[in-house]
Amino acid sequence: MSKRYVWIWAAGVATLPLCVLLCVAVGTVPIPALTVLRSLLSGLGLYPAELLDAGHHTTILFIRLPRVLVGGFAGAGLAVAGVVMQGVFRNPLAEPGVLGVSAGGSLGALLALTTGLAAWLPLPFWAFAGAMLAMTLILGVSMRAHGVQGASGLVLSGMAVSALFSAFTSLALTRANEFQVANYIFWTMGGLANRRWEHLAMLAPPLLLALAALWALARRLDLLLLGDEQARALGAHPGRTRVLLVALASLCAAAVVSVTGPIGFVGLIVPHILRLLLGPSHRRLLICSALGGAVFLMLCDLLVRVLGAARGNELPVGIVTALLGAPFFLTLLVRRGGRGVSL
Amino acid sequence: MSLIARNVRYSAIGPQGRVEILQGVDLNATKGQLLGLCGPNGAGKSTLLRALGGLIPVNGDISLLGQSLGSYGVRRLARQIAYMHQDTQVPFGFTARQIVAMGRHPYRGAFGGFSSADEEAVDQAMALSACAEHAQKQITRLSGGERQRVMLARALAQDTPALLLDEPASSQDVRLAHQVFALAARLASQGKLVIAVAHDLRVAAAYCHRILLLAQGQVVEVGAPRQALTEENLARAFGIRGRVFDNPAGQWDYYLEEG
Repeated sequence: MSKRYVWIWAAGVATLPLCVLLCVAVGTVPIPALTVLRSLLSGLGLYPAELLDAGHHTTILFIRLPRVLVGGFAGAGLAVAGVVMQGVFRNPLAEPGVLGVSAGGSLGALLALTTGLAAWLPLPFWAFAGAMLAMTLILGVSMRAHGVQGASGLVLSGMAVSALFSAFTSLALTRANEFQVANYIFWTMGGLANRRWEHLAMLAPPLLLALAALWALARRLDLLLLGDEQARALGAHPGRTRVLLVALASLCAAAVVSVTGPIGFVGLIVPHILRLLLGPSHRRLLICSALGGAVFLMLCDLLVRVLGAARGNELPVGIVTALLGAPFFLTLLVRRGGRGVSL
Repeated sequence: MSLIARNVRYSAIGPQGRVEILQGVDLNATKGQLLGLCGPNGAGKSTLLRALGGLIPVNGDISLLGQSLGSYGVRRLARQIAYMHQDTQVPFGFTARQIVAMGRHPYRGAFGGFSSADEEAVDQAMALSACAEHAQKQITRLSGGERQRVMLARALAQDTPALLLDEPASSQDVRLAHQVFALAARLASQGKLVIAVAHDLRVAAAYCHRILLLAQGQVVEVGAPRQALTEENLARAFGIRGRVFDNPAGQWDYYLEEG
């Protein structure tokens, strides 16, 4: 275990709670960190709620905290999905939505809005169902596609199924009314505004499950980087491993996308920055990406809220992730002279 | 430990249509022996070795310890057979030690860490294949020869009863090439089953207990070096007019006749 890895890991673990604290404390109405701490403790039943300012307490526990936590989980999920997709497809530009997650999620969301299903169960549920349907279709087709072997089969069927779903989405849009279109566009903008505990409840369980499974598969992903035959010689079934990995990564991405809408760049930039710092070994990359993605998106959303309070309306968080992430990434790229940018 | 192949056939579709790469190969390898696979380019040596390693599906029977290779799971097979690939390119910045540690994968649980036994196996393997000094270097920065020894170390770290080596010394200088084959022969004498594709006939003759001479997907001869590498067999396999003689050290040697 290299010194740098321990250092980065420790930094991540220490930063995470501090970051949550900061993000909850800062906002339209700044709340002292001590008050935030007391509120959090009382939420856990460790501090008498009667001693707290009721307004602050409600703001912290029911508005800010869930939003910050949704941001943290979403950032972790996107970054981890990105790491895995880039590894499996050995393509630095692979993003979490390779397996039709975005296209499927969008169609699911839109259909739920136009058919009124969204009144039965919340929108994220339908987006998640759409994303999972697209993923299942892609995996099913690629496993039956003889002749197109390995990762390219997945990419090709992913493209085709995504195109199909996008076409259906366009079709459905032409038949939707203005109100439904507006709702749909609002969802596609992505963001963390008004995210509550129920969103976290939809996001966290599938994410934690997928993260644990991916952690167990991380070493096999390393073997896959060497090529299918070497992976097999070292005791990992290449085809099965690949399908499992992309399914789990898609699960991560789908859980996030359905709750927050699409948020770009986190899944691209966080893994690359960490790969530059840590090398290609996936076990540490996964953990550090989860921590890094969580911190990154929480801070970006903090900026969105602060700027939003000043401007009167909020920017989509995706704009901020790109504005902050891209220059940092470019600086790192230039300073390291491309060394280690092997993926 | 025995690895037995019966009537192994393999064909692939190339630009000129279907090509028969292996046309009914029989092979018998047992523990305690270093078996050399020799033959001209395109004879099917690597394909045969990959088939023996269970890495490609072939027609015919291949059995390990009396059990068909196909009935082994991938992981279980990786605890029986270690395979060293000819292509040693790794396009990712793993350190040499990380690469060698991958050889321990068949023994490690999904959530488990790296045990001290694993550490020891990795250190030992890197020392044996003379690449310990490169342990912390990025594999992408090593020379072809150094990379090849790292790959050999990874196969050794797998600590399997059978070892399949595809041209393990092709990028090594004379001294190291002899060292690699001497190591293979020693491991075989210690009870492993070792099969190595060998390019250099003199090295093969010096270290292999038996040699299988392959040409155009068929076995030309199999036997002790002097029995396999006769003038007649060299002519049949390689299309050369070679004169075979004993060099002053009493080892098998050959030279090419003019024309």
